Amino acid sequence: MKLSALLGAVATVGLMAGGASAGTLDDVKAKGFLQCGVSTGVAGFAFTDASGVWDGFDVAVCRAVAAAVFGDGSDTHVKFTPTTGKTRFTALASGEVDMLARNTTWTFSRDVDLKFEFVGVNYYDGQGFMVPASLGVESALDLNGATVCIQTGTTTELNLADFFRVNGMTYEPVPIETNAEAEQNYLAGACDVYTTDASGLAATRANFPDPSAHVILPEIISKEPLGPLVRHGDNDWGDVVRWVLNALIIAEELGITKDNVADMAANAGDNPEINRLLGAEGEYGAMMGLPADWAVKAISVNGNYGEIFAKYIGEETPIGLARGLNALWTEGGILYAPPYR
Amino acid sequence: MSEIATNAPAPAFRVDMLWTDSRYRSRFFQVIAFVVFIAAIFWLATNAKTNLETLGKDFGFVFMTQPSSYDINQVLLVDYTSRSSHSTAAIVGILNTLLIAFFGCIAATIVGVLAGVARLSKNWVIARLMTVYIEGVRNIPVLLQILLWYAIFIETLPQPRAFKGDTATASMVFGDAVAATNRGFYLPGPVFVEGSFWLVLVFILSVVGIVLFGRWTTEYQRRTGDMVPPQLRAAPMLLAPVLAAVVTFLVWSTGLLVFDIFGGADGAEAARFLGLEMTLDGAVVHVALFALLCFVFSRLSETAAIRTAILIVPVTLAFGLLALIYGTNPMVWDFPTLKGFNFDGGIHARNSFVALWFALSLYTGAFIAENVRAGIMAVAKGQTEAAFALGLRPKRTMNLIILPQALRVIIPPLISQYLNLTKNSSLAIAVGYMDVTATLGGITLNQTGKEMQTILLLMAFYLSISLTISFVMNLYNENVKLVERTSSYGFGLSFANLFKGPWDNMRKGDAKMREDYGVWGWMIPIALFYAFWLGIMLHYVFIEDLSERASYFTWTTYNQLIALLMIAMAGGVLSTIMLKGSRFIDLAVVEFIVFLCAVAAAPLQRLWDSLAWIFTGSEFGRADVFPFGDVMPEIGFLQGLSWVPEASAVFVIVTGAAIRIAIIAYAGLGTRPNVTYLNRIREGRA
Repeated sequence: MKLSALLGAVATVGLMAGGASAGTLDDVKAKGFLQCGVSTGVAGFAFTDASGVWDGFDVAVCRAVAAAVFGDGSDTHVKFTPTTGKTRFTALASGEVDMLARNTTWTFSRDVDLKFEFVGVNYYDGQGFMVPASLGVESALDLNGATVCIQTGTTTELNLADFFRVNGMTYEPVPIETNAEAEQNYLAGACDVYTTDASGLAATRANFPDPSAHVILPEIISKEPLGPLVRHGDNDWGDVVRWVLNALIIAEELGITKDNVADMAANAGDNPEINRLLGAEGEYGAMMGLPADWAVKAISVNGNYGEIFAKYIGEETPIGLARGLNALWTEGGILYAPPYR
Repeated sequence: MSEIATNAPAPAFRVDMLWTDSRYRSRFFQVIAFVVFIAAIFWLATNAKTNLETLGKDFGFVFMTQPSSYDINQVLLVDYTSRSSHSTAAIVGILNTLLIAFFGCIAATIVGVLAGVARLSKNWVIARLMTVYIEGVRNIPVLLQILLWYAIFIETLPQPRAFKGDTATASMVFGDAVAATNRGFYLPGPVFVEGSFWLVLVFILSVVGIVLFGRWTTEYQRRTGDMVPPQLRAAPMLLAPVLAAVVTFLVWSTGLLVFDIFGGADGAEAARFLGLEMTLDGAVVHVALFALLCFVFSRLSETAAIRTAILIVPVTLAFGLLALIYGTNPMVWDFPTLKGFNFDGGIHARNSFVALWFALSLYTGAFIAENVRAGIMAVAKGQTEAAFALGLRPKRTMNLIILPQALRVIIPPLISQYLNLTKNSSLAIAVGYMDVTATLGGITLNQTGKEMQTILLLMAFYLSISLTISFVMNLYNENVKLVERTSSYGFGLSFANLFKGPWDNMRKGDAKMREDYGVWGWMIPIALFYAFWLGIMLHYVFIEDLSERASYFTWTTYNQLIALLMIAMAGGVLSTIMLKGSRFIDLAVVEFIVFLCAVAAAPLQRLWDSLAWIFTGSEFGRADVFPFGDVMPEIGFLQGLSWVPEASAVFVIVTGAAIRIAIIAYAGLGTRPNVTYLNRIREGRA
């Protein structure tokens, strides 16, 4: 009995690990759809709409990748696996999902020790604190002795411990599995503070009955570059996801939008970079094992990076995030994609 | 016919006889099964190894020594900060698991026994209510119940902020002693100050006194048939006012109950005895308490009243005396007060803990109730009728006749309910209770990505804790189960018997008639010794502060194996003594003697060291002068204990291992005689 339990576990781990070896791009093509790990629900970033279709800033990356591979980013060619902070890495490492686009912070140990490959950054974030306005707290340094809700298994958990220790403050952590539970605890007052990435705070606050009753404190206590990631060691697949993300950013630089992409692809102009990106010049798609017009399809789903940002989390949306660091390098941000040549 | 059969020459061996001849068949298939089993293990292990290598992950436990970098809200007994190691975080989680398992098992037993008995009640309403409780609770998944309790706590109870300021919407109960908030329950906690050692000592002596009194009454009843001498019949009535006064004094002097009924703002305050404060409302409350206690105590039976008196009167006298001697009360209450965001001081029972505790106790209690009911119904109705015919009242019938017989039916399923509760406590993460699944199997796993290692450690922990619970409960079961003629050899040690004196614990059954009667008792000190030794080693290897020693996970493989071997040896001897009883008594004794020799050898070695120091000038570093000295430089607990130098330890390990192997060989290959080696020698049979 004891032994069989042990064996079962060993076998499970072994088999899960076994699924991770073949070429992911071929696997994806063979099974006909992309399996994408997303979060269990963060407004703006990954959510299901009224008809149960996944949508959001992170989801858009998945759909663009699916469109690049299959020419179509609809649910026929991409399926979503909701993952918690705890289950996401196991899901990716075991091959349950082909890629993860789930506000995941790029860190050394995840990159090197956990054997993942971050293909880029789709949102430059930092950890912040949200408190009820009625508490009268104006700085995170006033939070000594507070009860803090955190999502367990995240980098925020570690930043939080360091922040309070370095500043000689104490706190009572309330570890929580998902954003929804955190919301419930925070709104009930079971914790004074909710801490996560500032973008996540804004998204969560937008869902509150009365968003104005809550303030996000000015301190940003960490760097949180969030980006899609794939398993380490499958460089071909990593390249595909990396360049789909880059293509979205380059498209914004070059002024390629959802509306004009078909037109620009059909009538090649004299900007060689646009021509290369949209497949009118060179054999760039074939080099990755994708059709020549992969970027056209990827951009057609939700538009370029700027359009995706504006549609899901931009200032016009309830989330209301400014571009800030996430503006193009030409516009004062740090978003900078390598040249497409 | 038989003549022919026995004299017939054995037929030549043919291959097909392996499966046609019953002499070979069973062993042949066992060998096949064994080979297949080993091959399966081998395949799984290599598969896991290959796949881990493919992923570029190594299999090691060194990550357990790295700083955990996360904070844990509920930390018991050990020092833990976010700078402590992952292994310390795992220990914190283990202690939290044990805490919830301990309180859960106690509460579930109480709930279960009450509900089980009440479901058989003649009172229709009570019986049906219990049916509803049992059928309802045990058919709803326990996870939902945990979440429900948690949601109730966080949604209905007030926030700590609500207690604040002039416009407070919530207030503490029991005279500012207890605060129920949606972050948990804040209770007054005892603080032991100067002189409390004597208080604890008096308390322990009182407990011993109660045990002695119990033995005396049992003996008296056996001799005379009366439970207590006639002159003690009036004990409850006489003792009730004394006891009530004593308890009221204790409550008043520690300031536990300070009500604010007449508006006098006298707040909760410690150390009232010396201040001799007494307000009007305080007087009313305490007089009421006194009257209530008088009534309660006067209802006790003679023995119960005397036991209660032994328990509380000396302690109270000691309390007053110590307060006069030292000038402060030896024990004061630390009351929770609102500071900043939260309450501070006292005991904080977090909602995650309370919700988990409620849900697990009620859920498991429903199952235990059914076990109890089954046990009671298994006792023939004639027993009750006979008891009634003898004039016993229903309560005594239940306590003296039914329950003792029902227990032997109840205990075995009760063991598995305890195990279920302990294993179900791993659902704790659902409400953010930091048990070992949440620390080691949750955050540590997630932050380090070592799924395989953490899950293996976690399984090893749950396995050992489950086996320990089952082991202890089996000992108890041995004690209560029906005594049969041959049971003396299956009869294990019991903790209860430790109090009866080591030499007479074989009174059951026909044990007194056995030739080795009394030999058993000698095993108790040996068992205690091994338990102590095992505890020291486990503490050193896994718990002791890392600044005192190198972490186990960074030792060389050789030293890791040696340490594991030593732990396994001590545990093995302990469990052999406890489980196998006298079957291996002689071998265990030999191993113990070897150990004693090794300890005795220590002074000799010290002499050797001193000589070496005098003549060679070398340090006391035994590595230089003694051939075994450098075998285990990192097993520091042997160096730390001056009476066990390394060489002796090596001696113990080597000899002990040899003896273990002998024991295993004896058990596996020997003929398993039913009497011990010592006895066979005595009878000239060996």
